[in-house]
Formats: sequence, structure tokens, C-alpha cells
Amino acid sequence: MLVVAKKGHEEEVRQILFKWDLTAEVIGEVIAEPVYRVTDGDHIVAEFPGTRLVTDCPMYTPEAKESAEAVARRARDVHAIAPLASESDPAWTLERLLQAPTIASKHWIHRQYDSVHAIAPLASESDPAWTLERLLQAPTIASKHWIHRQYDSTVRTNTVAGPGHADAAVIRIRGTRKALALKTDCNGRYVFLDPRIGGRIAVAEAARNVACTGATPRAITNCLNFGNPKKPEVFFQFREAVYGMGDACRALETPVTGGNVSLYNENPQGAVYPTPTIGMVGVLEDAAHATRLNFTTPGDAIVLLGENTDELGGSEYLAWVHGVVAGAPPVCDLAAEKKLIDALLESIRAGLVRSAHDCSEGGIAVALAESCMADRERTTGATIDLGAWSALPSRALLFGEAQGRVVISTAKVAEVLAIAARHGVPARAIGTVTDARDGLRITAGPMKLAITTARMAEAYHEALPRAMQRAAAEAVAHDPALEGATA
Amino acid sequence: MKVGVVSFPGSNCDEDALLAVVERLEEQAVLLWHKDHDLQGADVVILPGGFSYGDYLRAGAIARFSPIMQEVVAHAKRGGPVIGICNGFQIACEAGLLPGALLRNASLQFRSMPVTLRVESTDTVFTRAATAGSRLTMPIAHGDGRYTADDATLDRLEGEGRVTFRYVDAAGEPTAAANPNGSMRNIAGVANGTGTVVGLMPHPERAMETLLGSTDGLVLFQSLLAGVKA
Repeated sequence: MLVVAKKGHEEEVRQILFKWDLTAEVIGEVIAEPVYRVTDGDHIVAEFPGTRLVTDCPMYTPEAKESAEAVARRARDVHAIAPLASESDPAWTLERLLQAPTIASKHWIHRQYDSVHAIAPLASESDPAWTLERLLQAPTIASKHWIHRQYDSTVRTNTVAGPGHADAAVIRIRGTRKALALKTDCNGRYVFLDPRIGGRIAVAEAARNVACTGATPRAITNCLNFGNPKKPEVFFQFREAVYGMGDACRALETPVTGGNVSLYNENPQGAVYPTPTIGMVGVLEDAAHATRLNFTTPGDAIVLLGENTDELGGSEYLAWVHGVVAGAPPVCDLAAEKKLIDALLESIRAGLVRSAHDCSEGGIAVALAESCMADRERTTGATIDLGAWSALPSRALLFGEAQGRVVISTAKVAEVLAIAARHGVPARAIGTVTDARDGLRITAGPMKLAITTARMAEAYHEALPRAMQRAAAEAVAHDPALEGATA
Repeated sequence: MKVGVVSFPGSNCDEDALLAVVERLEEQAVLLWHKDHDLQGADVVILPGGFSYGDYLRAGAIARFSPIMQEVVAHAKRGGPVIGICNGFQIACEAGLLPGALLRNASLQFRSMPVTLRVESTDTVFTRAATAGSRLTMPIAHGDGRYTADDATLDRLEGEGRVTFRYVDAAGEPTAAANPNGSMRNIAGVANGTGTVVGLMPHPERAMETLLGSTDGLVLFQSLLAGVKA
């Protein structure tokens, strides 16, 4: 670790480090001359102007070209992808989506990452190919590397909403009434299909998530994961995604505080999905406003803020149910996102909102299902009428991923609708929170979806443990010494 | 009352324990440095959670040789209250303040989640304000929490009412499903023979505020207060 200490305080720094059994040496000094110089005794080993690292960096502009595959896939008519026979019952489709690793509960993962110290390598990991294979079998885990950096989610006794409780984590600031909301997010499939739109959505969705907890989105950091930028298709993705992020950051007034870039992420099959992961931070002026994603109170009205539109392209539905990555990603209207956030925050701060959850992968049907049973200790049902949108193809209505939508529950529906109207945000009461025994019922004209809460909860909460049990069983088959390490 | 919280290299719950005492109990608390031999007049010692010495060798195995531990053991022998939380429980067992050992979780995986405890004994200075049989919810966060001892020791602990907390389900039953680490007889915490030293894997200091999800940890600290003032 490098520390720039105030001149004359070197010994105090040394004493602090000594207390912790660490050593310290003075290795240089900050000088007025704008030069970075490394010496070995009297011999100058390296010397160059510091500006070359900051304001006068060497620039280069590689060729950028959108990949033909992405163009072709985006252009494909997703409505021409025929529904499976089983989809005649949309409940089947919903159940299937709830099991997608992207959507299913991540509790199996969250509960084990209190500390990296606690993660002992399995015997089989001595062969990294086994580990890689294992990681590739769980793509959701592999693509969510940020989880590995998670430590104990309750240590330091500030956690108001931990992993999975709300659309973002909420951490109170001790000694104040304030709290921070934090969220990392990116849908690489959208960015692959249209990097500019995907870059915008990555920022907009992270902001929406933070706002759902009651926090004003304030700033982003990012981790830009791309392939080899010397390939024109990859540099195109990079350039366009960064432009898209810039569009959204300007519209949502969330400056970029820093970040990192990881390039050349490729294997012989090609580059990773372009993944500009956004880390959004927001501020709650009062930690008591922290809002979770689960419905709480039967009888509450369920209100949709935002508009259902026909957006099936790039959806989890197509990827998971059909194995197809196709279509244009959803439209991202940044002005509408900003209004939505403002209306949502005003409603939350007025104490009108009991739960808030954004619609993302899996669409409104998955969002409603999650609000019913993401908190398995306190499940509910919901009865929903989407008849106002019955003209939309039913699977686009249920599972399409139109942006700028948040599902809230409230006991003060008139007040919420009035706030939304004042902000110019489409809003409509779409149903009622019911007892868990009543399950989730969605109608839209002739379309009917009915599924028990227990069945949804089973699919959502057990999918990953079961996937992990399968992987563990395979590991034991490969190495019997692992028997017992499968819980 | 003055509480001393020991900071070992790698402790990460020392400040939480300190703040629990200062902010929630409104009593005095000081951090005690592991290299010191001075308890600074503390009436009660907390061995906090964390990863002392990076859990090298065995959780708590090195910390138990820290200079301050000589004073903590002497304090305990004089009848002074000591509570070991999580890594502190492991250290207390390694130091011989409590019987048994904490082995790797049966799942071989770290567990970070809320658990339900049943108060098995109110005959300790840390549970005397609690109701026997009542249930408390608080977080766990550990990889080595599987309480283990030989049958004779376990029988003796049960017989002497020294099993302080057990993991139970929502119905209050000590089922295997309610046990997060595979501990013997669902034991979550035990006491010494005089009820002045208690060790437990869950974190009462993280369950002190409604905002953070539970206030069920308060009773341990309130008991402590009553115990010292009595």
C-alpha cells in the first residue's frame, strides 16, 4: 500500500503501522517539478512528465464496426418465434422463467459469502479446468463476479436491506439519519444486441433499482468488461456502450466517479458479452424510508408506474425458454426514466409506498411474482388485471422487458396516482395484494394466468440450490472424496 | 459498568460490540489491544467476532496466546464476566474458558443468515434477564460454528444447565433443518460452570436495532448490566 503522508508526520505513520506488525519506509516525495522520476542512488532509472498519465495521455482510435451477428439477431422478427405447445398456459411459461438463473433467488449464493477467508478450495480445484468447468455450468454465478467480493452482509451493523431484500442494498450512515443504496447491474445481452441502448439501460436500470429503495441516484462507478478492442466489432461495442452510459448519466444526473476497464476478455470461441457493469449509489435522506420489494399487506393496491409496451426483444424469456438471443433490446426513454424516478421518490418520501420493485428480466409477471414471494417468510398473493393492455401479445405483456416500469403496493392509491400525474408518469392501479393462499392471478382480456404462491416460491427459491446439488452430485461422481461436501 | 472489547488483528466485530454497549446500553466501553496486559479496569470482557490472525492454524488457536488473553483468563477465574461471540467463542474454547470446540460447518460452506435461538438457561450473567424457552432472532456469519464435544462433556453440560442457546425452527424445535452448521445437539452457545463465561456463534451485537431487523440481542447486554450491578 502506498500512502502519501504529510511531511513531518512520517514517524507517526510508521508507529501506526508498527502497532499492526507492519513496516513502512519513505520511498519518495511529492515535488513541484511536473516530473515523475525514479532513482537508484544517484542514477536516474526512469523519468517522464506526469501529465502523460493524466491530461496528456496518448490516444488512439481503433476501427469500430458492429458485428454482423448482432445486427442480424436484432433484426430478427421475434414474434415469428413460435410459442411452445406448453405456453398455451402462461403459468407454465411464468414458472419456467422463475427458474431461470438470472431471475431465481440467489439466496444459495448470498448465504455463503460472508468472507473470502471462509471459502476453502475443494480438492478438485487443484485442477483449474475442473473449476472452470464448474463455473461454466453456473453461468449466473460466473457472470456475477461481484458476489465473490461480498463479505459478511451484516458486519459493521449498518445493513438496513441486505442482498435480495430490496432492489438495491441499503446501508445506514451511522450518526446521521441518512442511508446509502447500492446496486450493480448490467444486462450483457442487451449490450450485445445494441451497445448504445444496452449502455443506457445498464445505467437507467441501476438508477431505477436504487430509486425503488427510496434513494436519489447520485453517481456511478463501472467495470467495463469487453473483448479485444483491436477487433473493430469489439471497439464498436465499447465505444457505443460508453456513449450510451454517457447519455444516461447526463439525463439522470449521475456523474461517473471512477471505474475500471477490463479488455481482452476472450476465449477461443470469441469475446464475452459486452458487459459495462454499473455500480450505482444513491442517498436516502432518511433511512426509515428504505423500501423493500415484497408485498406486505393483503388489501393494498398494486400500482404500475410506467407503461407496458411490446418489448420482447433481447428478453430472458427468449433466451431461457427458447434458447434464442434475438430482437432489438427495449427502448430506453431517459426522460421518462427521470420522471419515473422523481415520482417514485416523492411517493416513497410521502410515506405512501409499502413496496417497490422494478420490472426487468422476465417482465411484469416475474416482477409481480417476486413481490409475492421473494421474502419466503412473508409471502402474499396478488390479483391483477392488465386488461388495459390486452391488445399487446400476451407473452410480450407478461414477459417482455419494457423499461421504465415499477410495481408498487400502497394503501393510498389516489395520492400515488396524483403524484404520478403531476410528474407526467403513466400510472394505473392494476390489482390488489391478496393472501398467499390466493396465489397470483393475472388477467388481460381473455388471457388468464393463475399459479399458487407456493409453486412460484418453490421454483424461485429452489432452482439454484437444485442446480448446485446437481453440480455437486457430478463433482462427487468425479471425485468420491468430495462426498458430504454437498449441502 | 465498563466493558472491555478485545481487538485482535483480524477482529472485525470489535467496533460493533463497542458501539452496542456505548450507543444501545449507554454504558462505558473501551477497546483492549491484544498486545497489552491491561484490562483498563473493565468489569466485563467481550471477545468479539472476526478472523483473528486470519484463522491461521485454526480459528482462535493463535489469538488465545495473545498477551491480553492471560489477563482475560485471570479475570474469568476471578469470576469476571466474559462473553465470546463467534470468533470470540472459538477463542474462548481454545483458551480453555469453555469446553468443546468449533469445527468447520457441516456444509463446509460459510453461512451468513438470520437464525432463531431458544434460550435454554437463564442461569448465566448474560441471560438472566431473558425468559427460559424464549426465542431470539439474530444473524450468524461463520464458517466454523459446528459445536463439538465428547458425549460425556455434552451430557455434563446438559445436566448442569450449561447449554445456553440452541438453534430451533419457527415452532421452537431443535431440528436438523434449523441447525445452520451441524452443531451437536443443535448447540449455539454454552456457559462455564458458574455462568460467568458464555460463548455463542450468533451475533447479539448485530441485533440491537429495529432498523437493522432485530432487537433480540439486547437482552444479553441487559442481562450483563443486571449481572454486574447485582
